Amino acid sequence: MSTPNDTLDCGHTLAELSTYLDTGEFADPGHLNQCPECQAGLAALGSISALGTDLRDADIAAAGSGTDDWMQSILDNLRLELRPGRSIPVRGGHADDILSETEGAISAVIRSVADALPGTAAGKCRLHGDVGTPGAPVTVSVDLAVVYGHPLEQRAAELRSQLAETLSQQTELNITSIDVTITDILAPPPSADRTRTTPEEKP
Amino acid sequence: MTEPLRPSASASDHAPAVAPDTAVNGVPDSAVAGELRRVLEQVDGVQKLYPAHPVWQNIAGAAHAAVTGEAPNPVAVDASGDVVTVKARIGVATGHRAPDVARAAAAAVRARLEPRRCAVEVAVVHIAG
Amino acid sequence: MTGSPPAPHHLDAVPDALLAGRAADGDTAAFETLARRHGPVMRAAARRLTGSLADADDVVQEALMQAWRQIDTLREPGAVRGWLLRITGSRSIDHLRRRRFHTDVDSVEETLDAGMAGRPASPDPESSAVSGSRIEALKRALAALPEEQRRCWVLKEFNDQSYEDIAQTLNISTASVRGRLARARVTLAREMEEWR
Repeated sequence: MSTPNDTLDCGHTLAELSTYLDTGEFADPGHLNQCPECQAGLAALGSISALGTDLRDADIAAAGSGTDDWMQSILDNLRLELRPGRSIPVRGGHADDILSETEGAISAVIRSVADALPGTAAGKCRLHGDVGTPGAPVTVSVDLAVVYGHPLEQRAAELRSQLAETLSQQTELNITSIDVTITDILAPPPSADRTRTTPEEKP
Repeated sequence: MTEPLRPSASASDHAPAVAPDTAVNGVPDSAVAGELRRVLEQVDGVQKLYPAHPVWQNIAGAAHAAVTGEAPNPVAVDASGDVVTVKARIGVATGHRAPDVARAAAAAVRARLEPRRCAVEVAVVHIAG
Repeated sequence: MTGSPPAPHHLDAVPDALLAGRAADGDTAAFETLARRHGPVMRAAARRLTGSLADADDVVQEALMQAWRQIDTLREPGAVRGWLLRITGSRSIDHLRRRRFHTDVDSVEETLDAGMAGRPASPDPESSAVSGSRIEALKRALAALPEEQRRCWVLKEFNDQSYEDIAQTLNISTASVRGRLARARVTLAREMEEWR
């Protein structure tokens, strides 16, 4: 079904050009470069698309900022529950008791240790192995983003060392290795009092 | 088939859990849950209690809570059998070790319910940084 | 250890993929950062689709709730923005289906744009006056489109979705999407005097 006046003199339709703009598919690709009607049609559709982008930008500007009250109210309403993950056993004082920690709680601990190091932020954290069986070997993997200029190997080593200590206090897991993978280098945040090009770190 | 909670001689730091109009033959589970909530909140290292059965998983639950204004009961108690089962989800405060706090929380519940036989489940769902 | 504790918004500079990974692990702060970052475009799309300011905010809330529950299923963490917009599109269409009354399209557009009258002035008054009137003309032309064509157009231009995604959202075939989209664009092009 085509719209009246939709067909160009060359036989192709604006509908075909519309699909071409979205998908890059066109039955007769060589024709496009040579046909002024098709070129004019593409220009018209492109112009509408550009205007649509302008409308979208105007609507986004009118939608306010993500830090406004409307978003805060939505986030409050969400009442996000903690995502628990697997259950990690803790030795109980009595035979009838079942004590545990959630994998989600431990992931959050790993993230907070990483976030507390200067210029770093944790990405995905994982506990590998059978965390549900006491004494079973477990390895930890952490994705890390480091701000450009911070010493990568040093940060990774600091993280491994601090995680080993913190996890031995907060869990009874048998952690056999901690793997830190640096997945992102982040641009340094703009800072008015930054006088050095790269931060110096004492060993 | 519940037995009344014997008032604890050492419970001088909080009001009695049983309201005057509760059942004669047994203390309603909800009253016991409220009492245990107070016990748990006073354990060193327990920062807060989380809902034992999160209602926020569905919009209907959240809407219901918004309408009734009630907070979900953090401690789940089932005293219908010979063994009282207690379930609680806790957050651990900064500067404490989660395994130690979990053990202390279970011990506090057990002490409060003595000499009733009980099975206590404590899950640490949050550890403050 | 040098360095101060992380500032409240230290996640602001963190890229989408990293935040999505954290959120999938249960990091509510990371999820909130994503919500704030993409909230405005979600709100704009929901407004344009539902034609109502109030309904749009309900849609954004439902979309974020669904996103929180499903973010651990996201296969490409870097594509979280498009994923959020896809959910926003679905929730908007659901919202429209649930409306019991038939909305007059023209009055809905007035509601939407009257509510947006208070937006701040743009930095370049002269160029915005020219493009502003063009945008107003586009809004009128959009309002005059048949409902199904307008939905396809908004889902493509605002939510940037593929034909397959739009087909799924509207429960129609991809061929129907292609046809309605093309007809919408042709009509708009003629209305805007870009074409014949």
